[in-house]
Amino acid sequence: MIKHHPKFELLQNFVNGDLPASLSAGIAIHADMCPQCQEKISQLTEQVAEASFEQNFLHKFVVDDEDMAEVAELEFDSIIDEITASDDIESVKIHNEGPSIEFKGSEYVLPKAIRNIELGKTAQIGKLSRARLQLDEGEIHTSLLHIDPGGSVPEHTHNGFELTLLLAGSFTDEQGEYVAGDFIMLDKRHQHHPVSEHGCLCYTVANDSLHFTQGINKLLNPIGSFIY
Amino acid sequence: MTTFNLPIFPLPIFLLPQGITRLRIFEARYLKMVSLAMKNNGFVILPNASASASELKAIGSWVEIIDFDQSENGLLLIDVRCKCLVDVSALQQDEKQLHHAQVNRRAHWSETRVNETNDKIASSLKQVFSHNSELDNLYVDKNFQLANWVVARWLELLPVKLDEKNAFIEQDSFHHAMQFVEAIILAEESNN
Amino acid sequence: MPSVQSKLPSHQAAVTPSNMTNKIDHPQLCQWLKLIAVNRDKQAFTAVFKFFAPKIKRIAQSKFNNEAQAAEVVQDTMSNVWRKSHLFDDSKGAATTWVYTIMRNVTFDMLRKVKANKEDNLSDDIWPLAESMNTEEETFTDHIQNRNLKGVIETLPENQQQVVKGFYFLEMSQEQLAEHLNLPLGTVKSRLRLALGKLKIKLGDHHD
Repeated sequence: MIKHHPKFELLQNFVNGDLPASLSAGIAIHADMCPQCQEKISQLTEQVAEASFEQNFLHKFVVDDEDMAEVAELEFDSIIDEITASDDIESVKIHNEGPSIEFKGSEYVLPKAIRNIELGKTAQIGKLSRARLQLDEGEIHTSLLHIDPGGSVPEHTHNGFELTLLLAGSFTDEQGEYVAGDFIMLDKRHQHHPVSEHGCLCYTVANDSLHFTQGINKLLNPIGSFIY
Repeated sequence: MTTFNLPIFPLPIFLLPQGITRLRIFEARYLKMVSLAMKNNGFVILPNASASASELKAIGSWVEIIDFDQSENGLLLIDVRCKCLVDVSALQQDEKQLHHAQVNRRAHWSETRVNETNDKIASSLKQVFSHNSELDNLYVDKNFQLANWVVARWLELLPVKLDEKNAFIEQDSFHHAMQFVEAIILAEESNN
Repeated sequence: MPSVQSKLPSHQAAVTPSNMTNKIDHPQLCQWLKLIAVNRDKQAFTAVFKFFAPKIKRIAQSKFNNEAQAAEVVQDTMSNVWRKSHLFDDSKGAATTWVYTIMRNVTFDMLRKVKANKEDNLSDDIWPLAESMNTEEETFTDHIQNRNLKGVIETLPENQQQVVKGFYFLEMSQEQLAEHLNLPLGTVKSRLRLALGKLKIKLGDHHD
């Protein structure tokens, strides 16, 4: 059972198209696995669409009246001519199974939302392997993180936010067990220490290096930027 | 070997011998096809018509119309049953854009009785039928005691890409098909 | 939260009392889209254009603060409407929702071009639009039953080659299978994948 979902506010921003690609893709992947959120998203989209195209929305902005309307008409006519001059229709894309990625001998099909995003080389430290998604979003880093059976991420906090979306397998932290589809958004108030008994694959987005808090791990802080 | 010339209905579905499906027909050229098919020998459903125009080897399902009706909004509904699989060649289009082709009968494992059947697979199929009255009504005869029939019906129903299903068109693929259905319905081996 | 600050049309509309004149004529919009799909009807397109374009322009201006880019959003969105009208399915949602989705996707890709300097056009992967049409994974009874075909058929010229030719009733959806087997959807998906994987090994992967 998926227990962790994106907050309503995040879904709203998603529907509006106001989130960066990394988080938008995370929500899309979650929604593909979670009919409940899928349904919320459809409803929200319908409402936002309706509101956007209501007449009064337009009228609020129209300062001047007929002169402007006429200019607009003229301009529109030429665009209409241009568009309708083309006979092309969009062919239906039937997507085959997307590309896949291999970590330590296991192959994973990439979720639809990220199948066209370029992946960097896989880097490894111990039981952790990470491949970066080349989204070029500045301080926001997006990765696929694979934890081998028995592996864990050292206890850490975050300076910014960290999204962990479990794609396959499971892991446990102080809050309990997580299963595929769980959407776990943490911010700097949280500390956690995920351990994966049987191994797992996560989609992670973080906007700053994480900060290790525990004993010897403090010395490991530089690898924070490796993991997320 | 006898060759027949039959109308072709391009539609991406997987239909094995004795399989039945309902089609809704509303394009003029296919209405014509249906009237031809009623008078003569049925027609052939060809799943990958666009690809087969260029390729030599194409396989379709030769179907006969067993019932027809009109839907609430005036569409023609036909129920068709697959007689056998056929090799399709010499695809041509007539002036009404309707395709015709030469077809030859092709043997398939589902036509061979296999009595020993896996009870669980048969009973889960029974359940599917009992929950879908539309599907249930299509079949007058249901052969839940025959493994070949049960496996063939499951293959048609499973949500798997056509490309993948095509592996089971081969005459000798019955055991693969059986194992495949078992893996999905029973998941014998534990998986995560 | 690194969200792009913008005016949210939903919020603005919500504070404005609605009255009858603001009601959107949904059946009319659907009818126009069908006419575009089936007849490539320029008049219908003009009507759709005049309804949506000014609104799209205002919304885009609030996101880009730039006249030229707003005009580009209008042009791209409406051109997609023209090219993709056959993919619109009124049983799946309102015309406004469909156009909104196209507009949002166009805007998202443009913003990404501006901000990250990336032309990777990810929006259609994140918010799939065109996949609803008979892809093999979802060709099932529910949308066949819901679809109101009558309007389309009445406008069909006799011998015109159509996008649509027939619907069938056979294969079930992954959701239906999950229901029958009384299993979570994820389990069914992974079983299907697993079974396919095994099959490929057995067959030596000689087919594609």
